[in-house]
Amino acid sequence: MNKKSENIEKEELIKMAPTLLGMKKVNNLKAPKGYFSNLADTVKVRIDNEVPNEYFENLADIVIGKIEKEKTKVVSIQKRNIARIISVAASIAAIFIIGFLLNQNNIIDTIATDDNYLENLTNNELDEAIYYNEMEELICYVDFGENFNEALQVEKSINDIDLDFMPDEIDEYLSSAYYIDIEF
Amino acid sequence: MQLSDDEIVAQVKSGQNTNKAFRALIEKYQERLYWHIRRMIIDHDDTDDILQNVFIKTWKGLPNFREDSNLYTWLYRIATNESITFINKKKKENNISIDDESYQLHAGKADYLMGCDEIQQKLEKALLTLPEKQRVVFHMKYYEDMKYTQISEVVGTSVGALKASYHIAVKKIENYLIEN
Repeated sequence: MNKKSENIEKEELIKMAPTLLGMKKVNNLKAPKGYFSNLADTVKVRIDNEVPNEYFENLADIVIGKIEKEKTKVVSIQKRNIARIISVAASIAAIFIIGFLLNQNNIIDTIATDDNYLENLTNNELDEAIYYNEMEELICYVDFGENFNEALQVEKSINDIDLDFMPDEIDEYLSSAYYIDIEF
Repeated sequence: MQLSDDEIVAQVKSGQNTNKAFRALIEKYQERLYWHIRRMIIDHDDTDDILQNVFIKTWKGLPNFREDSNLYTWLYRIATNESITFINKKKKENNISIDDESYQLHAGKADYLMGCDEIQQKLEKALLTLPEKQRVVFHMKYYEDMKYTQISEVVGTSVGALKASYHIAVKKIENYLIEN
């Protein structure tokens, strides 16, 4: 609206409402003394004490989230204890097996490197070994010679150890470099 | 030195000197907004509550202020909406129809008219006979000398409709003054 049309409108209004537009514009309302000098501080205090936006909308989710986190913590501690027990047992068993199998390797190495050893066996001794047809027994036989029966007892006591709970370690061992597969 | 609206908005949005910039905003607009609300609400305490709410809403909304309107217009819009919402709520509490004039609502608050001359008292009473939105338009045009385009941005009504509304309000008040 340009100046000209504003003036036209004003003239129209004066014609339409001469009493109103002839009156002095007075503000009959009063603001308390000092009100405006404190307003910024008052608003600041209210803002600082204001409950954050969407606080109540998210409160339930936050509380449930914390409860679930606590539950997870309890479960994880229990699981961790079980895992710790299993790992200790597995370690002990693994040490046992590795020790035993390394011993076997030494025997195998002995067999592999000392050709004369087998050559020195008597026919009866070889037959007996083939009769048992067990690698471990043959190894024990070869290794312990005259103390074969004693060796069988030792081996039996090792076999009696229940190693079923850690098949992975056995598989891992069997596929590792320590294991030498000997075919007869 | 007073900060410009752009400087205030930029400082609040940047997160630097936010409190200082917001204080500058309050100090710049508090009186204009106070009188804008007070002319609608009449009572000082209610006006104070509404004005504080306006600034709190401004504080919350300012970081997302899109600047497609002036800060000044935006503040007026918040103040106008808050005032109309307050009046409608009060009317509901007092079992007065929202479409009824505000005269009944302010009937018990005529103290401010004490000491005014007769014609001023008549004018104030005449204003209370106007519907709320018409009264807002009248105040902004008559007392605050705002342009129709500015009022249009505040109340979201076309300039033509505002002009018609103002003319009707002026005519009603004139008739009231003559008849009473």
